[in-house]
Amino acid sequence: MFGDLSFLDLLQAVTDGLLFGATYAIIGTGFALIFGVMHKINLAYAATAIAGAYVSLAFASLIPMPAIVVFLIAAVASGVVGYLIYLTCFRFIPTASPLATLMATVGMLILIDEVIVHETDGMPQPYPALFDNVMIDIGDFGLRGDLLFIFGLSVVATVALVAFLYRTRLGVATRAVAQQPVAAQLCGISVQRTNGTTFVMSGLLGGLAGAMTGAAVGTLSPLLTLPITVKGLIVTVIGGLGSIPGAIIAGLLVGMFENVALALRDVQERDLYVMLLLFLFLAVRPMGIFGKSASRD
Amino acid sequence: MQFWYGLAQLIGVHTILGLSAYVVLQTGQVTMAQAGFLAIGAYVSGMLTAMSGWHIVPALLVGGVTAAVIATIVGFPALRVKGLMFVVATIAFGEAVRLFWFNFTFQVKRGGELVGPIGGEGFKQIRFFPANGWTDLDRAIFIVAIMLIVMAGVWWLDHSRAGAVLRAVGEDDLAAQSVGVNLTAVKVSAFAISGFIAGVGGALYSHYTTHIEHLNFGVVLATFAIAYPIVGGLHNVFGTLAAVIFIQGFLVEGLRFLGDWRNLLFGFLIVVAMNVSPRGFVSVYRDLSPYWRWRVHGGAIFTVILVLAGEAAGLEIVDFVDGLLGPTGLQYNHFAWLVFAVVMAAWSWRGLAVLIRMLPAGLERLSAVLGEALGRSAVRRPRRTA
Repeated sequence: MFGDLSFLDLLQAVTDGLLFGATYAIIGTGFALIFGVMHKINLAYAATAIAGAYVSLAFASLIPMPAIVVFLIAAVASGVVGYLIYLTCFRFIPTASPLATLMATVGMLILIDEVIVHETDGMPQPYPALFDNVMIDIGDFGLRGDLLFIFGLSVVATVALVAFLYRTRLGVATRAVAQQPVAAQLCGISVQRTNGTTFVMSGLLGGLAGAMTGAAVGTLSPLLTLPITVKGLIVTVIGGLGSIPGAIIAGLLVGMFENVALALRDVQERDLYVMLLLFLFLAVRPMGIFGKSASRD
Repeated sequence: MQFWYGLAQLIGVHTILGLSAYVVLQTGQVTMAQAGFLAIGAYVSGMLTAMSGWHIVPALLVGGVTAAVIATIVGFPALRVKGLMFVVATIAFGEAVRLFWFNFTFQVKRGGELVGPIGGEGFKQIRFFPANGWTDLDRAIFIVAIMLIVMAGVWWLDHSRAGAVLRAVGEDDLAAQSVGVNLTAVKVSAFAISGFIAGVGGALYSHYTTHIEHLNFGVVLATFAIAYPIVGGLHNVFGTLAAVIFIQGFLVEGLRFLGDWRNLLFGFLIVVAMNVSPRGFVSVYRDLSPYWRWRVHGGAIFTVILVLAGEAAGLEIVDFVDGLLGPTGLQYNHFAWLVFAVVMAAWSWRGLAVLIRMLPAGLERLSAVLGEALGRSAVRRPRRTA
């Protein structure tokens, strides 16, 4: 089954996949955050992430700056775009029309994609990577420096998110709205402001993920949004709807699985195996890794 | 004239696609599998006419039935989950179908040449219409007729007991279950019906484009399929038709002269449409007063009758309009803009009237606020009368 693949190659594929899976984990966390608080899907989320990365690239082309600053600008820009998406697709559409919200986010996805195509003439843009010439060698086994950096950054981002949710008043408010919006409102929490904050937070995460994807792949392209959206949704479903730890584990799992499939087979079939993994989960554990058994939507 | 026939065929096929998603949306599920069903219908019927020499009508039915059977088989496991998980499961199904046709090669010799689908290159020789001497008008009439049959069928479904059951499941499946509705049976039936409709639509699609490939049936097409009923509204089938005309006739074809900017405006206008009419175009129509409903109805019916009667009498009205527009450099694109502007004006006229009526009160309020902000009443406040 493994063909001419040695154990070491397999280990290498698993490690690289796990490290790259950090970006999926972050994207999945962003989806889970929005779904957890608003119980709605934001299909424009991956587009937000890529948009942030593009904005940071525009800044980087104007003024030379270290790559870490580029990453931070990406996060901030995505936060802004995330809030815009909240305003255009969620704020003014009645809660009773979830389909309208869904469609509006699709519209935003198309709009953001087309703005990018319009600004860059559809050409893929090179994205700066950090530590891409660093390679930690342990015998034949090697760890790519840029992937390690991405992994570290996503760990930091996740810790920051958890600290926000569990250590700040705003985080408590966010969790309260997620649990019971009406009760939260009765306690004097502004649901709309909390929802807006959630979008900004998930946008910040998304910007980091977009920059990380750009750095890991080496180029940014508007063609990235659709695959990342689909992968993010798959990660959210495998992890369990609205569950942040679930999204992290599922993200790493999907990254690993994808890379192993890539090493064993070829690039055309890679996504087919990810779909099979999804089917497996839907058949065996439809509520996902950490999901409660969902009796009602 | 050619252009209008092409547009009618396009709208026919997309309306059928939208109606197939409409049936599933009635049960409260967002399906992304429609592009997959469309692909199944397209390939199966294409193979029947191009490789086995069937007539298009039986090929259409077989394409639909094949898609329905596959929908039933997939429906049982897929409909165990719902909400977001159903969306993702159906995306996965659609992609799996696409990848199947991507890897599927099957050719036979027919009339001295090899015909049939070749994996990534697609399926090129679906030439039933040209081979049998169907003109553009024949095709347009055929496709629009099938569209009307499907619309009538879904309309009947909506107004039958079965439609009520579908909507009951969509509103609250727990409540429906507690009055004895078998959820799995209802959802799988709806899925099978939608598979059949999409299969028929796919059969029309492959014969109208004559060349299909796996890339035509991606996530984007699946998104369009659910976009039509959502943008149009789930009250009745006419919303889907209106949305197809809005999206395909206006946003895609009508704005072509904008070039690159069309794509930008496309997403933006979808966002605007959803903010302005979150329950779809039909709900906007239903909120109209009887007078305005009559105007919309009457205007549309009158125009269609006039044009059809003129065409029948040999007056060539459509060509005449094209000719009128021709020398000015205007084309359908601009014409569509004009129609759209008139419709929007008619719709927003009520809003404008309300605004005008509110204007005095608004100005008064504004001046009061300004006066307070300035510390003293710069503008004389209206005296309250008891």
